[in-house]
Amino acid sequence: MKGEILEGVRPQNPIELWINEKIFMGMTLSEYGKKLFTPFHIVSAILIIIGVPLIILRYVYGLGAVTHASHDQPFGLFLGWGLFTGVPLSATGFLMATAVYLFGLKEYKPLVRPAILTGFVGYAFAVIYLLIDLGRPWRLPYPMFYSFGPGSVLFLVAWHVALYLSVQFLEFSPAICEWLETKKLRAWVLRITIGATIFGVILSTLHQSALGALFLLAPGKLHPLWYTPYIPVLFFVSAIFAGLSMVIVESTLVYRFLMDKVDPKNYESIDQLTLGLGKAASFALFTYFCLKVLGVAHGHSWHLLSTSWGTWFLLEIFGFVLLPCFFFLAGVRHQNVSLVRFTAFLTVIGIVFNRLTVSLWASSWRFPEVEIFHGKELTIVLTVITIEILVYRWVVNRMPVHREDPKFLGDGH
Amino acid sequence: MRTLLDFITMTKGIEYLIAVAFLMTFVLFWRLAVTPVRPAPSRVREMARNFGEMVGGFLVPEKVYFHPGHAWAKVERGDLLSLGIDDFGQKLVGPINAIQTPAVGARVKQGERAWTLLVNGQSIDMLSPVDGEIIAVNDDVLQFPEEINKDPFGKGWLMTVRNSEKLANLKGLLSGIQARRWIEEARTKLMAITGYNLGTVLADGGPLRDGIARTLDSERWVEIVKSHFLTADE
Repeated sequence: MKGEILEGVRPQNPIELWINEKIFMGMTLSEYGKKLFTPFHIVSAILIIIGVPLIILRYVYGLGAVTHASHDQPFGLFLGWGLFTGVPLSATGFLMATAVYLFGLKEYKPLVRPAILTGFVGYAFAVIYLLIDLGRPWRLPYPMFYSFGPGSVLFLVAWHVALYLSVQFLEFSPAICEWLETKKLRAWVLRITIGATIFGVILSTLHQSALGALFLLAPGKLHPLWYTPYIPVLFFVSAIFAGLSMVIVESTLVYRFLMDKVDPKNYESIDQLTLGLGKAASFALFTYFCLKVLGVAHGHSWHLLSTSWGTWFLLEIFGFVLLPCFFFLAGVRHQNVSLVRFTAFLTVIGIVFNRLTVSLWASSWRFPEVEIFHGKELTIVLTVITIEILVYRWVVNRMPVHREDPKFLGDGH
Repeated sequence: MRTLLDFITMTKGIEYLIAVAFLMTFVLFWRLAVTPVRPAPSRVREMARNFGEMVGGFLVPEKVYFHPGHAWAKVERGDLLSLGIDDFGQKLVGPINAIQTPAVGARVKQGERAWTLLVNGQSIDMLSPVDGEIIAVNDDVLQFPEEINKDPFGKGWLMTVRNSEKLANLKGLLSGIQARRWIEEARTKLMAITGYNLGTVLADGGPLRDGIARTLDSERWVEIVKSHFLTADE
């Protein structure tokens, strides 16, 4: 039905024809509008209608109107979820690009573009969460051009997010060029893929660990079971298995809900690729577990394992680190793809658990009450997550992410 | 330090011990991960699985729907179906030299011409098992048609179609016990036409150099194939 002109609904000019084809996927505006009435879109619309006014409320009346943030507990869900959890889960891009372009594992190529898109959307929305939390969005370019502040770890984080977003945009731009059918620009961006990938790996190594380094600034603030001088290394290693698990989760969901956007040639190979990713994730989880034990030994915190915080810590490292590690191992050894997929979801939950613990709850362990997040804060986060999913789907439905564009087949993709 | 436990847990030594233990267990972990529980070699496993699905020397897998013209359809996910040539059909024609298929975006109709096989200089049409819009064609098979002969229900798939009304189409096709009976009948029909015992032709289990039809009757083989594919000239 692409480009087909329907009776009585004739596009007036080339721009309208382009919009019908590229934006409305070959449908007219009215046809596209009718297609939008699905339960998912209705629920999304409701969330956005509730959430957007809350975001406006935040900007008008300040953080206190939507969060319980205070000097004692400065990090809320915007940073705990959006930055500290969102950034490791967005490590998909640098991991898959490294595997394919630097390590030569060409069989994983079908997963590179989806992973880069996941990473790009994840980092872009991390910036959105930062803007909501920090306020004064017109000051976003300040660390880049006006007031650097190189003494702060956040200077590094700001520069890295800006540079890495640019790198990911460059890595994803071949897909945009194919969608827009700009051959020359596509050929140019393809030439810089290796350089962009190397730069992306360097940046990711630094900023993934820098998020952990933030907690080195106030040694007594984070609970001793989680605080360790190795925390930057822990954050980096956890980003590896978080990214690998997220690639498995993303491919599982796409193959379930967006199957018609996937190249059928990939149906056969996806199971083997999933097993390979699970194997790599198991190594990273095993290493992480040992580093956590090392951290406890280094801090002489063995006696704290028998406290209530200790129970929380043991639940985290045994239930969400060692258990997924062995599940991945069992799945790989027995070629059980379903087990590997389940474990990937479990690992992602574990990352969320760990990062929220570190940034929110274990940072408030000295206070008599640990603050649970505000309901409005949670609503805003759910709204932004919904917008994130809609953006991802919008791109996948239109651009060649999970399939090759027939016009560029075999042309250096 | 009062006890040995204090000595172990309160000095740097414990960290070195943990690091050494990690390195040693990592080696074991690596070996466990890279050497999976040893399955039978894949060809043997495939043959063992296929053995249960063989009917008179022809593979009739479960969960595959057969058109009487020897094309098959398999539900992938949602309203997507993959199509191909069944084992009886590929063994009947033998090595396929080339395939002509409609382009992506074209529509196929159940019971009407879908693709053409080029075998030993002859064009042989086959009928589509279902209706649908072609959303993908297997480029590997177009380049290497022998994949159909090697793995007709796996890597030898020909095209993927989208059909939102697939249930109506699939009702008219054969599967399970019905398909097995139908292949038996096709086998019997072939023996009746040619007068040969297929058991001796298929005895060694390997692919036939010229296909069953040409082996049994080198003059009328095209007519035999077309009669089985329901595309005989009227």
